[in-house]
Amino acid sequence: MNGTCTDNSQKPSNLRLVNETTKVETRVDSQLVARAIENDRGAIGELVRMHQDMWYRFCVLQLHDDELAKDATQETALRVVKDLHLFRGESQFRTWSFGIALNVCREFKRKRGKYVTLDIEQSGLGEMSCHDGEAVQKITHRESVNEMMRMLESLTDRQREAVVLRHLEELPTEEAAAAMNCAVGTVKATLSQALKRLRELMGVKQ
Amino acid sequence: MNDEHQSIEKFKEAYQSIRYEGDLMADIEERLNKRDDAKPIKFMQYVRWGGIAAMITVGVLVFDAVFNSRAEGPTAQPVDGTTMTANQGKSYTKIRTGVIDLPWYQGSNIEKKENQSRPIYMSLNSGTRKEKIERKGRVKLLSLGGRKPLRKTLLSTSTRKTSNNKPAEKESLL
Repeated sequence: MNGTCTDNSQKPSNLRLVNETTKVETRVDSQLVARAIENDRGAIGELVRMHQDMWYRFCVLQLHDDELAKDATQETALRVVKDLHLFRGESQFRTWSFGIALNVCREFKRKRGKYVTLDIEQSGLGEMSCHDGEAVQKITHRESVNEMMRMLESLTDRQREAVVLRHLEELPTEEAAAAMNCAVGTVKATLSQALKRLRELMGVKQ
Repeated sequence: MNDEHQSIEKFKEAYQSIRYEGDLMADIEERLNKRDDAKPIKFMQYVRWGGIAAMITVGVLVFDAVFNSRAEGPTAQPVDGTTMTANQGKSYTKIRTGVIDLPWYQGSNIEKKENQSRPIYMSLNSGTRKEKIERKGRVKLLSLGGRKPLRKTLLSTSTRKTSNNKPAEKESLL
């Protein structure tokens, strides 16, 4: 909502396109949410189906465990449906649901105890979403996912959350801050530290 | 910077390709229904805990009332001539009269004995200074009971007696 209120006339065309897409998504979201609040099972189902991949991706990167991530996604969906009447529309539905997913992931991490570095090969993360069926694509995908996981693993929880929300989910900084329940400045500082660390790992010179 | 941008793009692509296998709504449907069913059970749990809390509160209140009535203000001091506090004394008499008033106990001669010789509960610290000294003296005397007096005193008394008596005897003899 906050991101859509800005003037687009002076922005480059690709940014304008992104903003327009967000506007459409927001409108669809708000209509669906309004129906879902009135306990329309169809609307609830549609809302969950629209966001299930997004929640799962986020949970996987936070928890590093396929099964645990599935549980966390289900818990997120349950909480979203249960607390839908608490959504005030002050932010996008996507941002609000990310806030819930973030809390669920933190709870799951706490329950699991101290941070356990899981073997990506064993956790089944590389094979989880290859629907294309082509062997070459499968391998490429697996390699890139593994590489991404290894890179993000070296970051702190907070840094990982910021990078995923801001750069991978492409949320505006304000929205990422709202989801993370912290100040915009904190997000910016965390992102800067995270990118510095990632650059070091990639061997990229600034 | 170009490498960095490419890496992020690659990451983004890999990230976007991650999908949830299956239908999440179908997966949570059962749990959603379960949560709806769980509401009355939860309510019953609250009721049960409320009942337990109420019982504990009543118990604590009764306990408090009993003990407060037994140790109130100045009555905590011992009553003169007894080792009991006023409230203890009260409860003692209450119990005693209660026992005596029992219908099956009426015919016994306990009451007569009570009137004849009432037990006196006496504290060593109670009473006036004079009474205390007297009582202490009595206690001393009692503790000395059965013990022989000192030899010196015996001798002195005997000599005095003999000295007093002997001349008299002599006088009488003479």
